[in-house]
Amino acid sequence: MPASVLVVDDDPDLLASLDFVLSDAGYAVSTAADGAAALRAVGLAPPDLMLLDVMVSRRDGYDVCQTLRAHPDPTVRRLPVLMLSARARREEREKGLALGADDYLAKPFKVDDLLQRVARLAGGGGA
Amino acid sequence: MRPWSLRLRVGLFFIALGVAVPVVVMGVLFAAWTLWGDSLAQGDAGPLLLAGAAASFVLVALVAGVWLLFDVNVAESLQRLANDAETALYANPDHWIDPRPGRHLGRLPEVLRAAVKALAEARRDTAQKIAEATGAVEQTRARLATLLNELEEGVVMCTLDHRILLYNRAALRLMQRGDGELGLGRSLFGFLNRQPFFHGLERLSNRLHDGRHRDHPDGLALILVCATVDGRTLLRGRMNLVTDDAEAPTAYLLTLHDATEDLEALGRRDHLLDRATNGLRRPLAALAVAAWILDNRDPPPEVRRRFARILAERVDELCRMVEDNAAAYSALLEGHWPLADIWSANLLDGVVRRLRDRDAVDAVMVGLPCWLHGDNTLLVELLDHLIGRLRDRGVDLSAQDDGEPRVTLEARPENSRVTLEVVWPGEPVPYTALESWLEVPLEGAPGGITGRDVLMHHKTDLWSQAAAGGRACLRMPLPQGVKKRTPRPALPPRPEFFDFNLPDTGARLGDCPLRVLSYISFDTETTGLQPSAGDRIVSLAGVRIVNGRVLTGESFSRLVDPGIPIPRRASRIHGITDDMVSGKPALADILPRFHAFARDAVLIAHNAAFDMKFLALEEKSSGLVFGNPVLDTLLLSVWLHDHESEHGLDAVAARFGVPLAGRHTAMGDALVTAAVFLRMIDLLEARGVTTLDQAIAAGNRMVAVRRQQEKF
Repeated sequence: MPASVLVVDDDPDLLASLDFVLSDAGYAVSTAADGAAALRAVGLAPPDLMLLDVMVSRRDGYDVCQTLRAHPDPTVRRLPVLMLSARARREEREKGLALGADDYLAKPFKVDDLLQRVARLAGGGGA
Repeated sequence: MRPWSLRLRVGLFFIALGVAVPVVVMGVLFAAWTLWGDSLAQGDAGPLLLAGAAASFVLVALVAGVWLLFDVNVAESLQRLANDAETALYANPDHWIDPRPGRHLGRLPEVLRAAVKALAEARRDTAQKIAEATGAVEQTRARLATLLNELEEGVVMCTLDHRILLYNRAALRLMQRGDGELGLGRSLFGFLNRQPFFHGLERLSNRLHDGRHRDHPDGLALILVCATVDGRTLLRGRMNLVTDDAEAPTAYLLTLHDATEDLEALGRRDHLLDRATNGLRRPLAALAVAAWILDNRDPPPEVRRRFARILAERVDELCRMVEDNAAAYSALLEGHWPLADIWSANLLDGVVRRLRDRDAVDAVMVGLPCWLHGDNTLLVELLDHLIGRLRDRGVDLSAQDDGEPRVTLEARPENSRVTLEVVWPGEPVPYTALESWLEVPLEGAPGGITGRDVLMHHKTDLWSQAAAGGRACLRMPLPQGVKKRTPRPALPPRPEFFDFNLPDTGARLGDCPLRVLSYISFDTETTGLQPSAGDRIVSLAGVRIVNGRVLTGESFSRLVDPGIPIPRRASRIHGITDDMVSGKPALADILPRFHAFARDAVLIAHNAAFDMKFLALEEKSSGLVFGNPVLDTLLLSVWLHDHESEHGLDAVAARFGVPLAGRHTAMGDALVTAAVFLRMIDLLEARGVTTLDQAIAAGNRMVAVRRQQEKF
């Protein structure tokens, strides 16, 4: 059973690219284009990892992250989150981690770096 | 012959009275006996009663006569003398003590006049000595005034409750854009937003309290950014806490300059930097992943096409962003560089001297000099650099035997620009060579500025072309000199722009001593005397009084278009005609400024009810209520000099020794009223009226006069 990854980003090109890369690496990938859709998807079936862009519409990444951390279901509460952001300053990284992200990656990133982090957070990686 | 003494006269008077009483009684009794002796002998009491009545009548008439003489010649005279002496003593040392009413009081008026005269002389003497002693101080003060006013930075000193103690011309220019008129004793917050000052003062006070200022690099100062209340101007400067010998804070000093352009440019620069770095992250993210896929994986053709398209689109997007950023960057450079008007002869002479002395280049300046707009240093460096590169290309620029100058430099006005032209014998410089010269940082210019940067700062470009007679030239058009100086705000020749003795007015206004309050003495000229019948204001003027000084530098004076013709009889009084007010603003436009000018001050006017009525008529339409306390010099004059019948401004001014100038102009009358009021204060205090409430109450007691005013 491959580990499942939910990718949340409002850039359709990046979403398609990450979908390809992660599927290719053996993960079961689902996507969401905004924060509300992401939370709905988590409610239906919590993935093993969420790649979450900060600047998404309808509930931004910080908001989604905090909602997850306050969720009554412990599986959802502990869901690993890798935050992706076009904001790269140290204080912005600190803010993301303080609000519940498990890791923080500034755009643009190296795909190998991303895959390493995903493997670490999703518990072992794809098939 | 010396007149009889007062005692002798009073003694003789009473002796006469003592003689008159028995004479009258005896005379009447004798007359009764002579006429009606028979009846009396028969025991008839009627004639006796008649005689008694007659005697009583004569005696009563005698007493009444004596009282009348005493009242006119003694009691009233004493009162007049007392009033005159008081006026001379407290308000006007030259006040004339009229000897006529006191002519029956012996030497009293004479002695009193001598005493007052001696006192006046003693005061003059003292005043002269003080003036001499303070002459040096005045000179220093005048120098300080000149220095402050020549400073380009705004300087403002405030009390710890943020009232203005001092300001200079530059501060006036910077802060006057706010609501109201800058003035001594006024709150700083009428002009600047308050938060930075609360915050700054608190920080500095804490630093002082903790003793940290001794080691602090800035001591008792900090950098401050604030805005005018209208938000149009951002000011940057320093705030310094001023302390006394015992290190107790007494005031703070602000030095300010207009930072609107600096800060806006800084903001735009930050925004641009953000766009040029973080703005690229988003498009790059998708580009990087798509490129990785194409590079490391082998997707089926349709997927490959999709990623190739992403690649192409993102590259397009990035190119657009770079172009936008470049445009924004160039606008920032052009917009921000400070340029000044330069006399071309000074600029070109600098270049010529440098070339001749250092490089033995045979250069001369030709043509008529003119004004251009630019940065002198950068232009000299650029021309020097370009001519140096010409030599590097092998052009011989040293002096020749024919006496013909090798290089000529000229500044020529052309099509509302000034073209700088450098001409030399030989070929024009190719475009690519010129471009490469412009990419090099200029040797003497700050911060690695290149020739291209200099051109951008001047919003221009540079090219080389052939010139007549086998020569070539470099041409660079520059902006023309503007030579339009913004007029400096006018200050009077001896401006009263500081007062370090502003009193503490923390108390309730009505309890404040008259001496410490701020006043606006004002006056109106009108089309007539009946505001309720449609008469209107044609001129409004006021002047501020702070700490017992009339601040002529802080005045307000406007002509007003009344919207109705000015009757000739009104024009005859104040000299203001229809022509003079045509095109002037209406009262509704002027009143908000006057309202702001008068804020926090007590209003003073002569016959204030009249002027206030005109202002009150505008209340409904303008929404401006003049709720200031009002003092009326006419009512106060009546209260102080109830024995006088004349209380017009002329008479009152004469009584208080105030010279008349510009009477029947609003400003002239406001100034006379102000001077009269200041002289009244001593006299009021001598009569026990020391606070504003007491002065208002004294005025209100003069109701009879008020009633008279209400006829208006």
